Amino acid sequence: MDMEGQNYITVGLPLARVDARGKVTGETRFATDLSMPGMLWGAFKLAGVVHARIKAIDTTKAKALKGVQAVLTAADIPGVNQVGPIIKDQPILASDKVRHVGDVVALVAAQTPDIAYQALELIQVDYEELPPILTPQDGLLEEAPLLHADKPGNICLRMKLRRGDIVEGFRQADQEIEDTFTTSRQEHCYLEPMAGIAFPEGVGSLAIYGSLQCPFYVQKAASDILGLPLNRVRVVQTPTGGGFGGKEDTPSEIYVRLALLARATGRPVKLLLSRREDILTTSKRHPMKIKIRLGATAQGKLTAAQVAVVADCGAYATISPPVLFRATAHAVGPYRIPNVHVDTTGVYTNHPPSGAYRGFGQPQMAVAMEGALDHLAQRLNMDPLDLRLTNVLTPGDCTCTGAVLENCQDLKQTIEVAAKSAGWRQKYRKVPQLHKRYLRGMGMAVIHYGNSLGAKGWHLDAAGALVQVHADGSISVGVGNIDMGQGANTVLTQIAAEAFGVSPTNVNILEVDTTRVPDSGPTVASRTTTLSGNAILDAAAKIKSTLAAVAAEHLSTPVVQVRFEHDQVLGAAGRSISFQKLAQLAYEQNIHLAAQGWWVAPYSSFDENGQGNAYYEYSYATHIAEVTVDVVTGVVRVDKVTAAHAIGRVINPVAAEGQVQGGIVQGLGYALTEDLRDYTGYIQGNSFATYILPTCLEAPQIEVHFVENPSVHGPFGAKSLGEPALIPAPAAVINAVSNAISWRMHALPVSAESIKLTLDAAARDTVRL
Amino acid sequence: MCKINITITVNNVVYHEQVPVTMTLLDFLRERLGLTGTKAVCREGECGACTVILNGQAVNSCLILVAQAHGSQVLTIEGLTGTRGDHPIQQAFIDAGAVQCGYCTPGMIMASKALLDQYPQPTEEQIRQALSGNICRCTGYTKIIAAVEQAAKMLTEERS
Repeated sequence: MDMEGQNYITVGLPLARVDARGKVTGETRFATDLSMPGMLWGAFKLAGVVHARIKAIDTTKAKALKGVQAVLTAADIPGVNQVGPIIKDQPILASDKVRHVGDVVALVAAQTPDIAYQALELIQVDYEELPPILTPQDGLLEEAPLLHADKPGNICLRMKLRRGDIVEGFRQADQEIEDTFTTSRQEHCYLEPMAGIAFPEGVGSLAIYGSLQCPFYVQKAASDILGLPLNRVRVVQTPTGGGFGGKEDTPSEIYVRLALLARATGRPVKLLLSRREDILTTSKRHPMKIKIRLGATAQGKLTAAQVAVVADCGAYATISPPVLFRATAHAVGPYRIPNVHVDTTGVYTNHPPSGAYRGFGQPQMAVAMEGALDHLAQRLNMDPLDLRLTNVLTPGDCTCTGAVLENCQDLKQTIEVAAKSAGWRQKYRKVPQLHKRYLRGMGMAVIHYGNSLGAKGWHLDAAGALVQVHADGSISVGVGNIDMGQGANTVLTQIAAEAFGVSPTNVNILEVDTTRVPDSGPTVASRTTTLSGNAILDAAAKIKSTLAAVAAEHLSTPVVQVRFEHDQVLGAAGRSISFQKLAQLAYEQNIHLAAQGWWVAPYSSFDENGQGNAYYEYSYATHIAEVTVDVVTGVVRVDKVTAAHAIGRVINPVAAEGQVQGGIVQGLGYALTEDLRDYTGYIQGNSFATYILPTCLEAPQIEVHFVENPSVHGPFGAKSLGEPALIPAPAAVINAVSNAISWRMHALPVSAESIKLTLDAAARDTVRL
Repeated sequence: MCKINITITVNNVVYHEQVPVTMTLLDFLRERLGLTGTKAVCREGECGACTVILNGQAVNSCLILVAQAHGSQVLTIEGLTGTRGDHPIQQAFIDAGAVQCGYCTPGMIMASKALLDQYPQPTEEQIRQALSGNICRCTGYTKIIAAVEQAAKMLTEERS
């Protein structure tokens, strides 16, 4: 698939986003902008309690309210009342128990939003409240109640990684450090709330239009819960206003509940879900407690790493298994460490389920590993940059899972490029600054990122494309992965245009509809450019071969000499025909100009000791953050972030840069201000007024560099970017803050209050009367 | 449900409507007039996605009762695209790569218009202050600020 050495028509160029115009004029119709005749509003009755047994649900008053068309509970589910992409432990409607404050116990379909909300109030649920499990540590206690009867100790899953001899590794160390980091529960806050419409289609079929990342997950869940075969369920992704993983697992519950209402009423049902309800009921980033112990020689060579991770999985497993797989596989970062132990435990608690969130376990692990490295650097009296340069993986080295990285010179290059650009050597200081109000600090983080689903997700890791060249030479492309703002449609347009040698304006990416291509897996794991892109190239190659044969005859040229360039098809002796005319010619000869493409991710392995290549390809990144801390208020201002990303080949530089800028600011929010304040199981941070997101006043100056080193797998050599854009940022910011105040911060969010408390405690410790 | 008669001009079109007293300007625009470009995100004035220009001022339409806007002039994102094509601010957002998922975009553009109407050559600080009420989760804001600077240049050139 690599077209090295050619001048590209559009790959590598900053093509304006193909969907931008509709968005700047307001013409683009998102799910909530849609309306259908006879449409009802579907609303959810949330539990409102943290942990309780359901003794009775009385829906009679709600059903009797004028304008209410249906009120459903678990008893009304025709198929199975269980969802879960891997572990099916989540009822779509709670039947015997509610396990978190946003658990759903009943559904209402009504003629207006007001009537729907009134009906929700009239549903009476008789709860017997149970003692809640609010932390994994509480869940692991012997006397803790079981959240799931078949999960002793409330353990959702366990994973381990064993490499080398850990005892020997620490014996060889001259210095050793140990730190414990705790990370918080982050909410996605996609600007567009969950939105969708479900409606009966034809006779006996059902359609769901929604703001979602994984149409095939929703299709499967609808099939299971409604008891319909897959060929009777059609799912369409509407233009989606942000996802970040928040629309990966949750839509399978949210929109399938609408489908239940549509089936019960025979009418279209549109989602009614406020922002507050969205925050209460949808999945979140896994909070983790990470204990990390590192050992190194006096020269700074890492000899051993031991990591224990306890992750809060919330009330249901959802996507915890692959999150904890990714966290485990990347636990100790892109460094050469011969002896590594990682133990990961996921525990159920009475909080909203922990699911998919951009980075998928890696931001947490980076906070711990990169923070521990800075601590170790301090102990060794080494510059943190030098400690990383000493240990970073170079070609031929292997990761802690034993994945040999033959081609990873771009990893070290990201460190060198970022450090040089940020002026690390000139600016970094490790001497504590005293008697100043504003303290400045610098911090870095280096990561590797396994592309796509990895060993544990290979059974889902394929994608299809449907490409059709029309009689007028215009090209339709259907794929199974979606654009949620990350720019997929634009990049896929460029890939298709490049393949046919035509201008990108000739290409139209169709809306994603499960009837167009076979199950292409989820739009997650930063996999779309590679999976859908390669599928497009596969289909395009078939059609080009057909077109080349037609051109060869028409241009009296051997078929191997036919070239597709700049909307023309060129033959021998200067003969040519426009792409459009060639298509027309082919149609007149009844030649078939459509093809299905398919690409399967290379197989990867990960055994019970966490050994194997884990992923078929890796991206790399280094972020360097510069901050100023106001010791009077504790407020952190992130002044600048310098980012260097190795993503193989950049298909669209402006779009790629935009991804990095957005990832950094989202990471900054996670590190400093975002706090759901959910200690009691009730979420206090349930609105934008109380859950503090970065505004443009907080946005730092961001400098982005790309290091190119084409991959043999991705289209034109591309590698993943979407998640690496965020992963190193929180770690870099926290390391910068710790450097500024000369105290290591261990708990997210590193809020103004926590900095003040730390500084005040430090001041007290140093004053002796 | 108490209803009230209002007259309101939206995008230069005069409307005489009977509305529930509790109806917000946001819901009036979206549900009654079908102008779905203005977005509902938080419904509590925290995110700016519902920004429209009311009598020359950028406001959160989720916090205005439509009855309060009786006799007023409202400009929404749909009113910005004229017969000549896209407004320079809209073009600048496209050119600068300032659009990702697009959900904050109409609000951002309206807030930018209100700024540039008052300060045709704003400093970066003024731009940040003017947009500080508009949340974006995708872009990290850098290209949005660049787009507003570019639009300011384009509009200044147009005038001269």
